[in-house]
Amino acid sequence: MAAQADAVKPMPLRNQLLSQLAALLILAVVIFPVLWIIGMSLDPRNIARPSSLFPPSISLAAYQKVLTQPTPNPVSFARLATNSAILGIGVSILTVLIGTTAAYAFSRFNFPGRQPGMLFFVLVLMLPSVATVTALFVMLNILLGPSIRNSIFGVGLAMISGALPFAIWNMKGFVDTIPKDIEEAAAVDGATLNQTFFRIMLPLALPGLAVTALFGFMAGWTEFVLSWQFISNPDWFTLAMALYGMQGQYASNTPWSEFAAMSVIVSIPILIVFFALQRYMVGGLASGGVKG
Amino acid sequence: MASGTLPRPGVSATASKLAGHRSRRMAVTAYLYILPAALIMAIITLWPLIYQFWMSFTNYSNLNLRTDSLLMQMVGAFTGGAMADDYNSPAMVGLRNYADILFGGLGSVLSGFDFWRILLFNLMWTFVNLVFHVSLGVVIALLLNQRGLWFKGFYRALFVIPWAMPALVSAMIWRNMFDDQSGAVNMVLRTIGLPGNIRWLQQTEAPFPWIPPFVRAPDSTNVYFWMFVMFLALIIPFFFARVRRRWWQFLIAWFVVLEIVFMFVLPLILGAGGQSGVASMHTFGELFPLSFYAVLIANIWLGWPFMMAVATGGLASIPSDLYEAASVDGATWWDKFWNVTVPLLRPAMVPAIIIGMTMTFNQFNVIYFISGGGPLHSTEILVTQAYRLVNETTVNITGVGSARPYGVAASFAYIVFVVLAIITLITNRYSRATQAINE
Repeated sequence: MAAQADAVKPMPLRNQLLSQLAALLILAVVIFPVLWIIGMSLDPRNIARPSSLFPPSISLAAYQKVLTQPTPNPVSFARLATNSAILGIGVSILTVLIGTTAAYAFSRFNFPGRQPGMLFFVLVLMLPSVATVTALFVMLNILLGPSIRNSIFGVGLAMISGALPFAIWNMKGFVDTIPKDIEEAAAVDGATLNQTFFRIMLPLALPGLAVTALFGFMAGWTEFVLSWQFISNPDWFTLAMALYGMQGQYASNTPWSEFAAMSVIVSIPILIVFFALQRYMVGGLASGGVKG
Repeated sequence: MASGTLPRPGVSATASKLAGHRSRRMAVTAYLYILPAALIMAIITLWPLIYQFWMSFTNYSNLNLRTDSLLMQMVGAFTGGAMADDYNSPAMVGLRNYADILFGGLGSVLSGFDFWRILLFNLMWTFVNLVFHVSLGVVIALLLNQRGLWFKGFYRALFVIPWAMPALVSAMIWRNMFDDQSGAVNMVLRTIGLPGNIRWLQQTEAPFPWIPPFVRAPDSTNVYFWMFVMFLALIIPFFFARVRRRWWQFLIAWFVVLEIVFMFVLPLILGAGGQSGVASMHTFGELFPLSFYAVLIANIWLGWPFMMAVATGGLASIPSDLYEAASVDGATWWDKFWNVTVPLLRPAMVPAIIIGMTMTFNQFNVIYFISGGGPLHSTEILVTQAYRLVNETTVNITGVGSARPYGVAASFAYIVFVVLAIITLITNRYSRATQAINE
């Protein structure tokens, strides 16, 4: 039917050209920072003042430098990447694992304490992680000792404290959009609650879980605030911290090409996961968040 | 509506008993399902919140970090004496931390700190960003939604790049691009023949100081507080549907009324109330140094693709017969946009706007990595200030000396929390109201 309508009313050529022009203009603005950073990362001169978008010649020296010695501290790139990956994957898996059953319960069951519980989630959701950082810092320091606080595990714990409420809330929002009839049909066929949850709910909620996991991963992989405050031991530095460290306070001291190469490296895993899950993104996020 | 809910006489008593049994069993299952999350959140979310609440009433600093027991430290703060010494408890200071933040006490020891200016700036930052995000998102979604447009899929795929990029990385890239010496923005300006030596992030003067509204208040009072009051007065009427229907006419009239009040009536009242001295004129434009426009540009770049993606989904669900019917009735493109597209897009956009609002309100990455809250703390928002209080600030605390003001930071976090709670309650109410209309 859409094809028919297309055939009946083709787009006038003038509109087509104007629209293409507008779209190309937007594309230029969208893509410019990306090209700028890629160009800079391939620039062999490692200069503070690039004069054009395209470097005179291409070299992978900056990438090589970043991969062999990313920071002035004695910490390898593999170590940084591992720390970031532990944080990203750990936060993403733990929040989804712990949060899924709770999200299901909040969406489907009616029980005493449901409303206060949800209210608590909404209130905690509004708190930016920066806001509880003081208490978490003090508590982890005293309860687990400074050496664990000063590691990726202290940061991970603190992150989960903020990521878990979001995960539960977002997944609850997604489960809300799944029709109840399917579960009712399963119950009529004699499935227990647990069977319904594992065999029917989980497969249906997979897009919601995937998007929630993606957000956990993105948050962990690029975590900065907590890491920068909690971690002083270079062994536990993350990619985000190394990237920030490279930027320096004065532009003239910044190794721009290395900074650019690092930016590209940090972005790639996120971009891959994002585009893989893109078709779930809008539904998985917009339905969460606000539906009370 | 299902056949199973039809009344069946004779079995109702058994059925209700069964239902009661079933709901009890369901409650038990529900608790079991929630248990893991509840346990973990009690330890790492609820307990820190309680602890932080207590901290906010003390003069807690980095000197109190060494203690054998958190609980005894809390108790010691109340009992004082030997117990307080043993567990290194801070002293209780009552509401002093809160008062210092709200009424300027902290500003006198921490240069550049003014709660009302930060709050007002944060609100304006969110508002201006959202206007751009939503309008650009919707317009570009419409542009790409035209039938028969070439390379549609190509554009849609590439336009989401700013959304897909990690915000931390994009922010740092923009910081680099706004560099006055080597940045790409100045380079582009030079290329097209404009002056390319703009000090985007350092220039302290506001480039557009004439941006209204204007407020005149005695210099002895905090003018940012009055500007905040005026901002509230300006937006509150728009929560009422009756006003929104004729918003354009109302805005002009209401604006004139408020200007008269805040330019002429306010200095009179304050002057009569004993606040003597010179009353000078202030504008909202003065709030925005050049670096505000820099972070704004970067955040617009970051924020619109999400709105475009949501709007694209919303547009797909608008039945095309509505447009055809409107065409038959002789509606212009403009009529169709306001009478078909906008009302039918609203249910999809409202949740997205609320998500975007909290995200922009707490946009730590863009502010912290691009302008760093500068110059002279003029682009600080609440979360960056909260971070600074914990991480980068040393002040002279009464009775303690020069130390990290963790107690003040805790109070600040709770004030931020209250601000966010109020905003969320209002927006939740508003979003429910629009949902009810459409259902």
